[in-house]
Amino acid sequence: MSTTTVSAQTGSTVFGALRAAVTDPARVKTRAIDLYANAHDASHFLLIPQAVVVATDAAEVGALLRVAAAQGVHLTFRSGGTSLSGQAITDGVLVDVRRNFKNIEVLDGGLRVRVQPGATVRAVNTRLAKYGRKFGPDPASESAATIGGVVANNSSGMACGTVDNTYQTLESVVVVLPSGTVVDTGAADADDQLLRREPVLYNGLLELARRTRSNPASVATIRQQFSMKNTMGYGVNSLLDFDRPVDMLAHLIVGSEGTLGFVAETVFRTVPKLPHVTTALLVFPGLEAATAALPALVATGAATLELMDALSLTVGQQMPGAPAIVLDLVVQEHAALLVEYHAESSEKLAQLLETGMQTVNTLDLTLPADFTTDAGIRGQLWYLRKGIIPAVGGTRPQGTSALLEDIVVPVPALARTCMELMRLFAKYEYENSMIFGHAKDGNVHFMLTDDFGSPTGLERFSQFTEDLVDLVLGEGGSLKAEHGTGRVMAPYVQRQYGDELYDVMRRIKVLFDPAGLLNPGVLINDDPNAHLKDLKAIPAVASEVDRCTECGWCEPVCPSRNVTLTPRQRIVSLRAIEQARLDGNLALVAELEKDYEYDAVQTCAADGMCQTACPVTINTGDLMKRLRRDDANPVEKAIWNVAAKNWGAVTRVAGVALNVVRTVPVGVILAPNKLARAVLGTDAVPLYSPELPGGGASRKHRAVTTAPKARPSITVEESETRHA
Amino acid sequence: MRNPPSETTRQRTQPTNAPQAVYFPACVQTMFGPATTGTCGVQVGFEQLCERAGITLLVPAGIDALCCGTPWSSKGMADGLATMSHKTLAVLRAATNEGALPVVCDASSCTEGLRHIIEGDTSARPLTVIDAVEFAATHILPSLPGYHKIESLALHPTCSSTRLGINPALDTIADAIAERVEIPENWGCCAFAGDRGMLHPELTASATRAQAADVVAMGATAHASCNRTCELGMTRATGKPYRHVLEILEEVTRP
Ligand SMILES: Cc1cc2nc3c(=O)[nH]c(=O)nc-3n(C[C@H](O)[C@H](O)[C@H](O)COP(=O)(O)OP(=O)(O)OC[C@H]3O[C@@H](n4cnc5c(N)ncnc54)[C@H](O)[C@@H]3O)c2cc1C
Ligand code: SF4
Repeated sequence: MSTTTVSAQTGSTVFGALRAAVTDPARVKTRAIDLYANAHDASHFLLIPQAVVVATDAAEVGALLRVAAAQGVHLTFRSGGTSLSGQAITDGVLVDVRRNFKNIEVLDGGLRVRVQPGATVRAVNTRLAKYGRKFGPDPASESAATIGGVVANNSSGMACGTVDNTYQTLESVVVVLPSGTVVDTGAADADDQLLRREPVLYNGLLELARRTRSNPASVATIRQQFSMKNTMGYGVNSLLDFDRPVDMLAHLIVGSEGTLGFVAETVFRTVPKLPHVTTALLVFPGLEAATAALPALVATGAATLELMDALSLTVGQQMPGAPAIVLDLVVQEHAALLVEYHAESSEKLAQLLETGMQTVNTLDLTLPADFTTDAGIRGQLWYLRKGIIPAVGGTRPQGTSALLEDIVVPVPALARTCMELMRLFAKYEYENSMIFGHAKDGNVHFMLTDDFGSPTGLERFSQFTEDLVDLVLGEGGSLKAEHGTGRVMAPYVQRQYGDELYDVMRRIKVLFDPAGLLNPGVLINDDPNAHLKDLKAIPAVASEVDRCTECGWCEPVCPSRNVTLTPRQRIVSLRAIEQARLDGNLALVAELEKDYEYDAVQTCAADGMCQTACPVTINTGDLMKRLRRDDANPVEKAIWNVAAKNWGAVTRVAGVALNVVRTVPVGVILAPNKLARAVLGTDAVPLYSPELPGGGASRKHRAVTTAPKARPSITVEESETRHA
Repeated sequence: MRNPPSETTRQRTQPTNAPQAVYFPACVQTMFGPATTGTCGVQVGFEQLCERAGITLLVPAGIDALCCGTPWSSKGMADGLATMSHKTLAVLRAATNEGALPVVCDASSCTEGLRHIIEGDTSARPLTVIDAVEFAATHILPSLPGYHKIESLALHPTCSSTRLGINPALDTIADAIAERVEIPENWGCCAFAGDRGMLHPELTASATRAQAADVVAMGATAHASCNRTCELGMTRATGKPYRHVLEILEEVTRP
């Protein structure tokens, strides 16, 4: 696969061609800060793009693909940037497909929904809520993960399993192929059109289906592998599950991680949102007992069965607001399952719970099962479960990064696998690697924290991975259940599926993208050490933000996201500056710092919205305010201190000034005001704007005339009351 | 806290002169008056509502010289922030009778700013700061007489109301005002809470573009938020007059 990079000489030609391909050349960004700020996704890999392009529509993506083909550069689509396996980064051209692809259209009274790829899962669910419906895939990252990313990663979550995931709930998709052809798989004559316009692809898919179906070993492997949640390699089950090439195409796009085509629009069937919920934490004496209970509990119709091991519970005890049931426990070898039942009515819920309890009562529990519908306690229980990642990721030692694994094995093998995992953690001396996750699907996560960039860290990770692969594949599992193959598991696709199916997958890539324009190095990668390269360094920069895991959850709520940077981008740019300093690249330091002042510091609204979304409660605004403070010019600082001492006068003067300007034509004010901003800088002199109202009255002496005709207010001032 | 409302309380409330809360009207009201001439602004609205509910408020002496500190903190002016925090805290401690009364503030950003100021208060009985929206939802709404709701209200929760966790109270007030309350699908912080909207108008323009289009398409009867600078920001973005929810509540429920 080609991994072309843009050299200095050809750079300007490529950039010129990219600029010509979009309606506004300013949407092709090449300043250092654009490249470094946008480079990072949530994974532990890092590549720096040559250019960042904000695309507006499918036609523009088509034009960019033509430029890529003509100029020999490669493209990677970036949406929410919450990917964990290294599939949303590039050293080629990064195409932002989140900002301008936000349309959501509810169809058939909420039974279906048409969505563009940049809309978040949360936005779709907000729209569907009033119809009593929701989006099938339920990743924990729903606030930031977008539909494009969910489709491309075949994302799932704790409830949807393999029943309501992307593969199952996607009805049709509009795809822009690397050739520039646009395919709407929902069109009545979609299959004929595909044959007419892409005969090689069409016949190639038919041929691959024949080849796979006629190979019993392939059929057996596919059936076994895709009975589990599985995002390793391409979704070759499409070749068995569908007869029309256009349907195979639609379902191969699911989980293709941006390597086969651009998802321009999707139609999904939705699932009912069941408003009645009851939750309990079942505490077992050990992992064995907890996982042994799974099949029986699954049979009771439990919506979620989230596993937490003893270490998770111990860490949970330290979280503020931990539920009483955990606090009271003297944790030894315990393990817990967070069990939830969902129903459309309270009667249905009662029935479900009754049958559920018949099973629960037969289980070997340390504490009695205590189901609750109380929102407060349920909140605490989920806080415990969802707090595990931040607790590990956010408290990791400085200079280390956290890597989240995502394995799946058949449920009967889960206990054995977890025990073996713990043995591996001990063998490789990984600390704080709690095991938790979606046990009902045999899918568990654990985190490794280390300085993966150091030679010892890398060697340790390399050997651990070999053992992990042996363990999981030995149990008939998959190395990635829901986070995608990315770069981290690309070297192991062949081992997981065998030579024949791996060759089928390689053939799929060539059929769709013969020139290797899209996201090279991801999902299929011939380098056996791809997972050990391009790892991210995380230098310490500021205590307010050093625990940032670069998850991207803060981005959708940031008011400056479409004008300059997001909180994550503010943080990673600082890390880039520091890394450049450590590397002795002072030219880069200067270049980044030049734009950091306006893009990061000045245009941060400091509203703290990022903190409301951040799993480790970082308020990037606090840091930006501190940087303003450190920057503040001493004269300006002194003036503001004088203002603090005389605030009453200042507010009244500001009020009077506004009253004066009201009676003067706007232009008269604007001209000198703009001049002052030009001289003193826009960060010091506020811009007067015509819709600002006139000033208000003193807070003490209100303009009673504007009050409604009323009796005297009973508000009293201090002096009066005090002496009354 | 107060007598249960009765028909007679609608007539004329006898000031008890024993205040139930210390009222801290935000200085943004002084700098930027009401949205349009002829409307009263949140301070008068809130006071009227309290009067009808028989609640006496105490406005600390020297209020005009006090501030929640946000203008300094947002500019990163540490000395000024310390000066103002110190001054405000001292006055509030005295006015609340050393924490015996809650402090009520009528602009969500300033409520948040005051909360930060009192974080530095290590006294045995720390101050409590409540936003006027929350205060109204618990202490005023239950005693309102019958009235006609307006048809629809476009609501703009703010970053601070979100951070303070008072959006449920804001919804409650909004639902009491209008038959239909709509929050724009593309709702987000308008970026106008600190000084950034005035220093960098391109920031607020970008932050409000999508939600402003939603709001204009709604064509709501009235437009409300809970923080004066955000009301201004949303007015700038939509061309619709945004006012504090309590100001509108007062108007809608005026006997
Ligand atoms: C803390 C945390 C928790 C998570 N929890 C879960 C979980 O519970 N379940 C789960 O499944 N995942 C989870 N994830 C992983 C991640 O959030 C999901 O994979 C998510 O769906 C990715 O969406 P995104 O919008 O961020 O896509 P991105 O990361 O931007 O992109 C993902 C891939 O899709 C490609 N792509 C993006 N848009 C398009 C498009 N329009 N057309 C074609 N290709 C495109 C990209 O090139 C990339 O390969 C979690 C991540 C984090 C950080
Ligand atoms: S600041 Fe918080 S939400 Fe934002 S990327 Fe970092 S950890 Fe994630």
